[in-house]
Amino acid sequence: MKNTMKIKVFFLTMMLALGALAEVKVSATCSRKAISMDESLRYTITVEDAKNVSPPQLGEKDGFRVIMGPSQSSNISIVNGVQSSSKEFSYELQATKTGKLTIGEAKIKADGKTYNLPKINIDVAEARKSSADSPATTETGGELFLELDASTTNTFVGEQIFLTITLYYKDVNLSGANQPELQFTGFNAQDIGNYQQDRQRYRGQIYNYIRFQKLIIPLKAGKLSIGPASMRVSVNVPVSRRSRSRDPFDDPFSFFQNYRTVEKNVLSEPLVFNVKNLPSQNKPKDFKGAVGRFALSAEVTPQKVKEGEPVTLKATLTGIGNIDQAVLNLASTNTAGFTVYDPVVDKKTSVADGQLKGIKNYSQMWVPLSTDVKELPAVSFSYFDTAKNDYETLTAGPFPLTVERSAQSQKVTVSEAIPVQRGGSPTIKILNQDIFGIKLESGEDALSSIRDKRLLIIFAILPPVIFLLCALLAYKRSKEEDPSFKRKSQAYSVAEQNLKKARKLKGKPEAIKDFCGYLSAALNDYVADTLNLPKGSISADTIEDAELKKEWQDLMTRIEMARFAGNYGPKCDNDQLLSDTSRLLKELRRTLK
Amino acid sequence: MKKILSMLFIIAFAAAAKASSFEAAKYFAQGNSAYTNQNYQEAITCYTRSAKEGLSSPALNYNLANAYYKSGDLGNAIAYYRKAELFAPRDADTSANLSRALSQTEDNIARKEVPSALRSFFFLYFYLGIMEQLTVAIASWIVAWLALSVFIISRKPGLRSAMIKFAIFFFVIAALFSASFLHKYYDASHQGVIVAEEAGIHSGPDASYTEIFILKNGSEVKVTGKEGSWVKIMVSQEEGSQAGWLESSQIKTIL
Repeated sequence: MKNTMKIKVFFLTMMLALGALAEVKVSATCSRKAISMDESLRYTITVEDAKNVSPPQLGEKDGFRVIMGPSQSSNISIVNGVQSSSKEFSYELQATKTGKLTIGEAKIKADGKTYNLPKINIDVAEARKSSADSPATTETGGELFLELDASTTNTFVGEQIFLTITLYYKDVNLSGANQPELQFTGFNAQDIGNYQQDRQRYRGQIYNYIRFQKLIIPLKAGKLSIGPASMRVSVNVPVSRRSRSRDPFDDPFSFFQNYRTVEKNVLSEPLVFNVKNLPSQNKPKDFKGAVGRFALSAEVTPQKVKEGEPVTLKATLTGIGNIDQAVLNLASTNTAGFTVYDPVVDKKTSVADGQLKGIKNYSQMWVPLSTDVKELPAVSFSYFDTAKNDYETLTAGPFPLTVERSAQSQKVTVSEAIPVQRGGSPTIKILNQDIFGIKLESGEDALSSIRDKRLLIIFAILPPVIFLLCALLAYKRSKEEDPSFKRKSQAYSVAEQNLKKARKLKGKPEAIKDFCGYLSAALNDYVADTLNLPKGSISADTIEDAELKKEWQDLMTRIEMARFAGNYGPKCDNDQLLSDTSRLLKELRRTLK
Repeated sequence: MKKILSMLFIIAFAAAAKASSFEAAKYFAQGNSAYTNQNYQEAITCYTRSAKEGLSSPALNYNLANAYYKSGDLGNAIAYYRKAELFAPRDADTSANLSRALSQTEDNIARKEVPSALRSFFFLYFYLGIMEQLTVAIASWIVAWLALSVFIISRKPGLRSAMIKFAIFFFVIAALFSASFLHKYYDASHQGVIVAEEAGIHSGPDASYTEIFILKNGSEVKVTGKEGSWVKIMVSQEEGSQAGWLESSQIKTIL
């Protein structure tokens, strides 16, 4: 059993070794040698028996462009014990010009070695014209062609032309189609709606079709060409059965792959238009370029108003044609007797029966300013009628209006409407007028402080009171720091204290000296403190008042007599001395400042 | 004992004030509800009771004006819009509604508009409401006196110098804003709106005097005097001023 396993491993190793030793083969092929401008070809580079392959570098491909690729595929097969592998790089190329074109040398690197691939010559012919008689034939034999059609080719400048670009196809597996591209100058074009996809009988045969619609308006006169229209489509092309082995094991991946996708650029025939200028004869003054067929209707409501009240002019313009160019000739803002506001214009367009139909609604507010106004001026619209080959002017109005005198002079405020400046943008459309609603929060009581005068008085008086207190404080502090002030302010109380001490000693013979000393000190110290003089320097001359001076001398003599002679004699009566001293002190207090 | 009595008085006063405030808010809310239900007369009654209870906010005056406007009384509406504007001049709703109400008055009497240059120069006068001006004036007054107090107490020369400058500056501010407040207050208390449908203006303070002209509801006039139940008014127009007397019940002053 073990031996059998060993043998299998040996053979497998040998096979791989043989495979590795196989020679690398490189080739380049083209699906077709001759194509037309509207076709593409497949360019394939195949590398066989290589382990490591890098993507190839295409050579000079002047006249070709890659529209798809590279797409890669690999294949490994073991036949009779021999392994083979291959790798393919495919490109879808399309010619950009006609003639004998060459796909240049491509280079590819396989197993570290660079291989050059040979040039391939391709004949490129003009694109085949698509027509019902000779529709373009795809590689599968189906039909695929593009038709460009216009509602008219004999037209006027400004006239709308309905253009259809239709891709017809039959027996073709179409997997995708891009928007068509249209080359034109001298036209204004716009797409209309989405594309349509359906089946229809076209020139005796049933075709599938994809249709795109455009609206074009010639901008100048002359022979104008439009197109060719081009459309890029993707077609699923069945892979040729001859190129495929019937044995699914031969190429297991290609067994399920029935189609490959081919990109095609389909072209149509160009269209030539004979565009004529609009006649200058009979051209109305208010003609602004509208071409087609139009109708106008207008009304004014209400027809009876008071001066200053607005009326609304409603005008409707309907028709077939370049509705964008259709501009109603309305009165300007400086119409006498009115305040006129910019019109509000509403436009709608629709496509029906291959024609663009439009409706334009005008709404304009007019405010008559006086009762002299009897009518609103007429509105008019001029266009070129393509059916009649002549200009037409439509008119509506004038509109009779009854303006009554207003009981009040109506003023139009900014909140109601914004007057229009000439050439300005449309105004705001006022639907209704009303005041702003109520406030839900009551807010702070703003008047309470004003009504509560007590609070106001407190606020007004309190700060100056605080200031006065501070001033008082400052004054007191400054005086307290002055020693002379301090002596003076305390002088009387010191004298009172001396008198109090003397009163305690009165009538005591043993304390007569102290008694007299206190009385003398009360007088002397009081004068010294009050006049800020040194104590002991006080004499009768210090006192200026003559009467007081005499009294002072008399009392001091009596005190001195009592001090040295004792309580002898009426003049030394203690009570008398005490009362006289007290009285003199009061006199001095009143006199000395 | 005295202290206890004073405290009791203060507590009672505060409680009464709070109760009054609560009642005012209740009537205000009822007024809003009535207004929302388009019952404008009831809304006016509720708002008026709220005002009697002590509420006098710009919102109340604004809502009251709206209720008068909706009930068709342009005169009272304009008077209350003016009052709301006096306290909240920056409120856009008030200005818009006032403009709208004024535009609907029958007499084409408009207050003289202050030139925009002057409004820009005295922007604080026009930008701040009367109460805001009073607040600024009082605050400046207090700050000025406090700065002066610091100046007199302080012993630091630098601080004293700064404080005296500070005090002078705020005294000037207080004086300016006081003047502004007083001017607005005086102006508003002499500004009246005709609230009667039609008010006959007489040449003297009695119905026996000749009727000179008629003013319609919503006309704004200047009140220049009063005698008994008659008010002297002056109407400014482009072609000159007209003066006359009317009954005080026919006019409402802003303040």
